[in-house]
Formats: sequence, structure tokens, C-alpha cells
Amino acid sequence: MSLAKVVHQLSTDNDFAAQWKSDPEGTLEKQGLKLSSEELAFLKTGLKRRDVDEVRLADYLYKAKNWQF
Amino acid sequence: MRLAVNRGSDAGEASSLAALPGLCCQAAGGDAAEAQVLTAAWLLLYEAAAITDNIEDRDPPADWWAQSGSAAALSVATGLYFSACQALIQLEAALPDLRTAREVRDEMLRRVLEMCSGQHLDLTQPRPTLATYWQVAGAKSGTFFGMAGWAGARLATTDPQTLQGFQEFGVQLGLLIQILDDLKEYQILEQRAHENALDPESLPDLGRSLPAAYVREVAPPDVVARFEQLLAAPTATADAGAQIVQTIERFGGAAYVLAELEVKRLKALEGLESAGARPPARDDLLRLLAAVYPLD
Repeated sequence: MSLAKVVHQLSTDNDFAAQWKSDPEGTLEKQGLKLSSEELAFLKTGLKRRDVDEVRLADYLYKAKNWQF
Repeated sequence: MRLAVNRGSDAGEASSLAALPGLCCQAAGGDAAEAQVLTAAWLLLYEAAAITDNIEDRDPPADWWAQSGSAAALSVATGLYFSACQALIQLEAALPDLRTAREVRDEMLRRVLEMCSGQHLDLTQPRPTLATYWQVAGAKSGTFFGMAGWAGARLATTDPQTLQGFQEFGVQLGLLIQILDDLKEYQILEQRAHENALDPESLPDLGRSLPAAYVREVAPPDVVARFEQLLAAPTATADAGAQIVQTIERFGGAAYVLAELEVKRLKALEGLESAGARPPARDDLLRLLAAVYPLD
């Protein structure tokens, strides 16, 4: 469950977030964490660490459209 | 955790998801028309599983069996399961190659058993860890949609890489749908609170959702304990629902959900790439993926 741990630390740990910014792979290695290539790719480019409150669950609820099989 | 093929109002997406086996067949170089019996079997399995899932989760009954009760619904589900089996037997008459028909039949039945074990785990773990969440989601939604991808492609080819690629596309599509289905539960919570319709029977069970499993994974024990109390009684106070969402967001839950959605989408695309999916069906599959999880 490394992705969860990394996202949690990015969201709540300023030191981790700062280290991640300059050296993501090194930061993972120091913590003994491993991510898949897809997870690493997304976190390096798609999720820049911002203020904790900025990413909201409600932002993604709109994507849960009703659909019918 | 519901088998994540929910009912709603978008008939366009309905028809596109039902086309999954045929599109994978076509994208693998086959004739989509040969996938009709396979698609019928797959849809029958879905309907049967959706009914039993509904009953086992004690969800509100569907309109058609609200009066007659769950026993009658279970009887219908049993009939649908055997109808699906009958359709799989009919593959032998529908396909030019007997070996293909038997392989597809046997593999689909094996995967249905996998889904059953996923359902059993889901029922016996009402407050799953994150690892258990993914095990259940994989065995249920992942297997169901992966089955469509693999079986559709198998009508066209025996190439292992192609089959693995289409299966992976289906699995990741299923997991995407499962996560989004979970998010709908929070939408329902928000809507119910807004309507002040906080009857416990009508509230979604958030305890099995991905955000809840995430909080269990990363938050300290005292926070998890309080979180579980809120989940057990989301109507206990006027702001209980808001506290649930705030807890999730405080620990990075929204960002985690986004990360998982994006990773699943990326892996689905990689599956199609690895399978060597051919146009125009490949483009239809990409549209199907975009319809389920639209890009910003």
C-alpha cells in the first residue's frame, strides 16, 4: 500500500513533501517505499503537493455520473 | 461493495459498456458479430450477480421486487445464472471453432467462482483494510470486466500478449468503475443531508468505500476509532457527514482517490497498447473509457 503511504505523507508532512520535490526516487528509497511506474509517473507530474485542504473529495464526485448498463 | 455496474439514466453509456466483449473481439481482429452470444451470457451474469449482491448487502430493493420480496428476487437470479450457463453452452453452436467455445465457457465459469469468493470476502469484512478493499474490488469488478475483455479477444486470437492486454483493459476499467461507484455513495450522503432525509435505512454504507479503507490505512488509531463511530452513525449529528469527509480530506484521502483513478486509467491505456488494439474498435474502447472516467 505504498501509494497510500506516499500520498498521505505528501499531504501531511512538509519535510517529506520538500524532499519529494527535489528528488522523488531518492525520497522513496530513504523511506523504503516502492511505487509502480504508473504510480510514480502520476505523482511526479500529476499531483503537485499543495496545501492539504486543496484537494477535495467533492471535486471528483462529479465524475461519478449515473450510468446504466 | 456493490458489483459496480450501477443503474442510472445515461442510456448512451449503457449501450457502450454492453458492447465491451464485442469491441474487444473486433479490436483483436475478430468479427464483433461472433460476440453476440458471449455478450448475452455476460449480461445475464451481471443481472444475476447484481440481484444477489443487492440482497446480500441488504440494499433497498429494486422496484420490480419491492413487493414480492427478496426470496422471489433470488429465484429470478437463480434463473438468470442458469440462463447465462445455457448461453455459454450455446457458444459451441454459435462459434466456428469448438475449442474456442469450450475455453471461453470454462474460463468464464472459473471467473464467476472468483467473483463469488470476492463477494464472500466482501460480506465477511464490512470494515476492510486497504489491502482487503483492493482484493475485493479486483475479485468482483476487476474480474467481471476483465472477463469481458479476455473473452471478447479470445474469440479472435490465442496470442497471450493480446489476451493479457485486453484483460488488463477490462480489469482497470472495472476498478475505475468501482472507485467511482464508491464516490457516488458520498454524493448520496451529501444529497440526503441537503434534503434532510437522514433515515438510516436510506443512507449509503460508506464503511466499505475506498476513502474509508484509506483512512484506516494511514490515520492514527484514535482517529480511526472516531471515524468508525461516525461511519456507523452518519446521522447522529447534523455535521456527522461533513466530519466524515473532513477526516478523509485531512489525511489526503481525496488526493489518494485521484491518484488511484489516474493510475487505473493509465494502466487501462497501457493494456490496449500492449494488446495492439486495432481501430476503429480501439477508438470505441477509448471513448468507452473516457465516458466512464472523463478527462478534465
